[in-house]
Amino acid sequence: MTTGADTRGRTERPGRGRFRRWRRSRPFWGGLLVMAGGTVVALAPLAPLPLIFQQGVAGVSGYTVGLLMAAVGVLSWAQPTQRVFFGLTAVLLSLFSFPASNFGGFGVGMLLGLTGGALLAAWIPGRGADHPD
Amino acid sequence: MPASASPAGGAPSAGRTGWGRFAVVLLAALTAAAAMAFWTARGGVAASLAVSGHVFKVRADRLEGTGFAQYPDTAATADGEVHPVALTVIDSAELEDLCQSALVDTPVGQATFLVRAGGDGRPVEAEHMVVDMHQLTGDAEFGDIEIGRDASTLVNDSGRTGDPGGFALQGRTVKITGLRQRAYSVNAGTFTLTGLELDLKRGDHECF
Repeated sequence: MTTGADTRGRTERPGRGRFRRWRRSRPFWGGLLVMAGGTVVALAPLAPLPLIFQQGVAGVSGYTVGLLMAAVGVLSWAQPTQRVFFGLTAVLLSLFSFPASNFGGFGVGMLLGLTGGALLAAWIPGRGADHPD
Repeated sequence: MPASASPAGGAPSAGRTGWGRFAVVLLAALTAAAAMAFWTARGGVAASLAVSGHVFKVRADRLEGTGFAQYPDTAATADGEVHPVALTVIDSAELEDLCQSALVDTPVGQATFLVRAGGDGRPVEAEHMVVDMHQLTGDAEFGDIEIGRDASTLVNDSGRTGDPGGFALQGRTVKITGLRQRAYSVNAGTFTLTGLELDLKRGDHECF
């Protein structure tokens, strides 16, 4: 009750503070949404793999698009400076997932990917955060 | 020195989202998505569909296809169970008034995923279709059918064959009216879905 506004963010446990700093120094939510979208797209077929491979390119493309989306999400966390490129890539992959894989994981995966991609492209780093150690 | 100028002195300040740019990118993306859905529904973009994991239902007023083959096989579902299925291959098929429904469990209860297409005399076209069929009803007519062909000698575009000595059917053409089918999986190389309607409804709204 006696604590003022200036102690906010300092009374937290150290582990949580470190996670928060890590999270704030990169486009966390955008990357997370893109990863979630990719997972939905990749899991939606659930078809037995041998059958998928028999289908050739069309069958494999569903998994491929989903895995690429997830990879872009992970990369956007690792390299926040490339956020615009990753964001636009995520948007294009999500669009491609619509015809390529069960209408983009029944629409859910595509919408997650589009929103996440837009968040990535629109993220602005804080001062001094452009070169994270 | 105003305290608000440097938050958490020394530590890098938090990143943020430029909501204006977010809106522009998202709007452009959604416009493109709507265009994609529109062209898929017009039959301009071929979609690939693969659903499996549990039994779902397919209904069509009429199916007409070439390169038909069928033989007994097994399908494993996501829960690890193995089910006997009639594996059905159709190289090229046209389906009128197609309805496909799958009942899925979601965190908020049951939901039906519904795909309808191929109405108004513009049938759905499917290439390289492979179906793990559980049950089929309808009036069927086969052209040049061989019943009891060795399953390992089947010839089809998808390259599916059964065990040597196994029982199989192979026909040059197939025509089924009033098709009602339960299947574990349907895979097609391409589906051209004219007049596509996609629905995710709460509760049970299956095709039959």
